[in-house]
Amino acid sequence: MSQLAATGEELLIDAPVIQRTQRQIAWGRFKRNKVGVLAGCVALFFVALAILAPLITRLLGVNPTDTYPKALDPYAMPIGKFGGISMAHPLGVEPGAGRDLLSLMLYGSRLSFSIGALASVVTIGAGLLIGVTVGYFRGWIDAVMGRIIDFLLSFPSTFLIIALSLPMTQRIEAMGIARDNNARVIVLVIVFSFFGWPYWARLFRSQTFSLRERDFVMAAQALGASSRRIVTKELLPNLWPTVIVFLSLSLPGFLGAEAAFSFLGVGVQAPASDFGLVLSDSINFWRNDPTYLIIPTVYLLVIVLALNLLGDAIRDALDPKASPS
Amino acid sequence: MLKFLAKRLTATVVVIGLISISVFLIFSYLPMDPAALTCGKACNPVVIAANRHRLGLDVSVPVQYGRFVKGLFVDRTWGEGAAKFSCPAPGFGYSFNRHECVTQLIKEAFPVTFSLAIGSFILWMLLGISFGIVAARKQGKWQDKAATAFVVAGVSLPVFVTALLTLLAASKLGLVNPIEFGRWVSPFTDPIGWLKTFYLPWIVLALFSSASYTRFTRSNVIETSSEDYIRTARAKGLSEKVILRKHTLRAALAPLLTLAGIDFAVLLGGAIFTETIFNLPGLGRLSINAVLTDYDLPVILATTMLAATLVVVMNLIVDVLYAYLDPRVRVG
Repeated sequence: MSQLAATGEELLIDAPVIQRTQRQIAWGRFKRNKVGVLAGCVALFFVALAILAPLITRLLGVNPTDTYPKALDPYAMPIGKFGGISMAHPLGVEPGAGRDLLSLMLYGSRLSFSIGALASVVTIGAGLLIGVTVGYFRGWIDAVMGRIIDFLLSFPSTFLIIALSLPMTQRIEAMGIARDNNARVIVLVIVFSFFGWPYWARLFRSQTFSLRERDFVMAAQALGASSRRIVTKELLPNLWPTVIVFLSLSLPGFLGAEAAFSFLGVGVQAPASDFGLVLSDSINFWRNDPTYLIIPTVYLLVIVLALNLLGDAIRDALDPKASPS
Repeated sequence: MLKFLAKRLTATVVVIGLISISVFLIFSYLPMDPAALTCGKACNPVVIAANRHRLGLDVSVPVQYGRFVKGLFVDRTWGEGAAKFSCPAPGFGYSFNRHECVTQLIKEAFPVTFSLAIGSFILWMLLGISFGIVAARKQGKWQDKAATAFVVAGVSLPVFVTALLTLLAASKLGLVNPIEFGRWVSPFTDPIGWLKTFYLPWIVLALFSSASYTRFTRSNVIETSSEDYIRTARAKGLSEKVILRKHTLRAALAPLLTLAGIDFAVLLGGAIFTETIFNLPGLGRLSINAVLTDYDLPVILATTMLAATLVVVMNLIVDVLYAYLDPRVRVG
């Protein structure tokens, strides 16, 4: 018994005090989560592929808009097994038109990532701004915003996105802001953000509610800090972990949504290509060329799965309730 | 309770009114001209102007809205003389592309969507809640890990991908009859045919939705299990089964009600992706066809409003039920 107590004391005395910041604690926790690290690597890999798409396609000597009729047989089906997978076309060739599938995937994921990232940043940004404002000031501003949020959340957003994408694209083209697919990308980001922010605003509002009752906020108020100072110096720094978690969880959702809408025919259109377009085209060929269906499915799923697992891992790592080991 | 009910009912009516006004406004100021869209090949300004008058679009938007609302309660007619047609109340307008009253189109589509919604709802509640309970009871064991994998996969898979893969796998196995595919039959006249049409879409939607219910049930059951009154029940010597059924689940599943109500209402408004892929002539496909084929505004307007109304009304029902079920929710 005394032996144990002695060792305990010794430990207390000898062990140097290690100070670690919240970030170091979170990073340490994240590193120990094998699934999370793996998911992070996979996600980074696919993001890198998307960013480096022009370089990779140039190295391989393929182009997403070029057709390769030599890789197709007289029935416009790819020559060779597994959808014509070969050294020249690592993921095979698109049946019918004969474009290179790898370059379609690379450029498609580039488009999806851009839309998803833009929509995530705008949605979470607007949600943070509005959530913190109403959460901090409360009163009538909170009552009014609360009504607006409830109202927007009961809107059938899928219906409206489908109904509005065509006329909004025409309007943006008529205003001369952008043309064709650029206009469609802008419309998608706008409608995704418009219907997305209330959900996050509500979450940030409740987070702010609990934060503003904490002692350090009260101390700042007692010292006479302005509202602006309290929001920017006391509240926002404490909300960054939440922002990161929400961002990492909303990105895969938008990737899936973007694919779904272009699958229905209200997203980007040919000659551009993305997961939804390739998937809707692949239905016509799946009996003779199942590879053409499987590759975009797996490509999309791996990305979304990796991002979701990464988001979960980040959430666990930043969770203040978890032990700081 | 009555006062609470009256208050919530008023709020619901106001919200539905606001939603209908905003949807109407959005569609009124779109750069689409229904008069030009319906005038066909021999188009000239005179025909368009006549069409505009016939469609009732030559008056101001508030008047149009007033006529729309009036049409919900009394019969409405368009045009004069030989080109006259009318829709009985409650009317959502007239589809000039399909030459039918919108109410009739919705009446035809709703049973399909309802069949899809009710079947998948039952399936996903059963799956989601039972997986969640098993995962919570076997915390950390393989059952829990399997449930977690199921949740991650279910949340990650976009529903159109699941639907596509399921459909292709089923047709590879010869489970899909191309002639009967997506054929609507009433469960009252041909129950077997009804099941044949719907079992695959049910499974797809259920797999997709039950994942979040598994996650929710699991965390709620774990949380409730550490409450004092569960320990008391155990100390009383109740069997684990009775504790789970009578004490844990009752508290753990009540919050699921809100989620389930809204999800069901959203589904009743039309499952666009599932209906499109499984070729089901429900509300979702009605609206997507209205957008993609001919921009049939009255149909889009009606389906959008219907979907929003369903969500708002379900919100009301859930609130009332919740106040009734949970003694901790005080109303007044």
